[in-house]
Amino acid sequence: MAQRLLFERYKRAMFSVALRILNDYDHANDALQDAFVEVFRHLDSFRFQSTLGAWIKTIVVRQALRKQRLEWRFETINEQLHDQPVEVPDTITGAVLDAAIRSLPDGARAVFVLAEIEGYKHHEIAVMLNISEGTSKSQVSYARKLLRKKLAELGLHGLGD
Amino acid sequence: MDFSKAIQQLPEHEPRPDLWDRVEADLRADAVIDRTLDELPVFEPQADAWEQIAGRLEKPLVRAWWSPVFTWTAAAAIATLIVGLWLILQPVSDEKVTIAYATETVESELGTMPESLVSSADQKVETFINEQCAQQTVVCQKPEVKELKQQLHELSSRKEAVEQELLVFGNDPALVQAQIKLENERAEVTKELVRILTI
Repeated sequence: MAQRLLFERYKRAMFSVALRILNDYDHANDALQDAFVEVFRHLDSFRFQSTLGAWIKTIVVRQALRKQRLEWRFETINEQLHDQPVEVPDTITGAVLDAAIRSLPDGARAVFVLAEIEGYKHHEIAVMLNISEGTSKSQVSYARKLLRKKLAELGLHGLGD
Repeated sequence: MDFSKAIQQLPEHEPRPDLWDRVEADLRADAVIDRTLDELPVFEPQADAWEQIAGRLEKPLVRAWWSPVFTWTAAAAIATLIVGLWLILQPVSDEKVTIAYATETVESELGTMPESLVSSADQKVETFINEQCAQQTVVCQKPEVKELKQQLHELSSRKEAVEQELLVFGNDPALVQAQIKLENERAEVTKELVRILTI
């Protein structure tokens, strides 16, 4: 069955996107299901303006964002984050970075995932999250600061902890 | 007081001594993060995800008309364009022509906007701008005009992208708001372009 094959091909990548945005296993599963139902119901409206994977990803992202019932909260940048220069160990793994990303505040995490991992442009993120492009950029910067701090702490305490 | 002179004589200040160390540490940290982004793990959805999806696909689709609650204050790009065009395309006379291009806000229920009217108005505005630029090549070479034309082009592309997403998601509130915002921005840029071209 073609639909099943399509689902099998994309399910892990798409679920990972949803999970990183939502940081909630059940919500991410719901978002994935809703998204693939939309995909199959609207497959005829796919106009090859992007790759099929990119089109599906946009639908998954939007469904994931919908699952966050409350407004996304965007914390303001705390300039005191940088009291000391941070030293991030070279040896961090993808799993460690993933854990650090998932520890970010909701808004900063969503914007970071969309901009830095999924490659969306700031004006696209602004539309998705109903924020300004400036907020999108500043949240990426905020997320990076938090990540540096988090990863540096992990380095100090040992990555195996 | 000669301000421009005073500005040139403003003193320079030293940053904190360890600033470069901080910048360098941040750059190193970012490089590690960027490199490791390629190694992020992927996750499996729950085992019965496909069965759930297949079950939902078998059910007939009941798509409710969107509630009137979601009647948005739509930016009246249509009204703007029509008003603008009507004024622009007035028959030429010897009298001094005053061109007004206004942005109005009207209450409009989603889905009631006549799309053909919008695209027709868009086309006429584009034609008008192109014609004016053909006649007033000097004006159209001005950086601000080029900038505005570029902005209009980008906004139009973004509007098309949002319209594509609306096809899939229906009247998703965030998308509708984005569409309204883009329409407003397009109307403002168009208004400014027309103003410059008709000075």
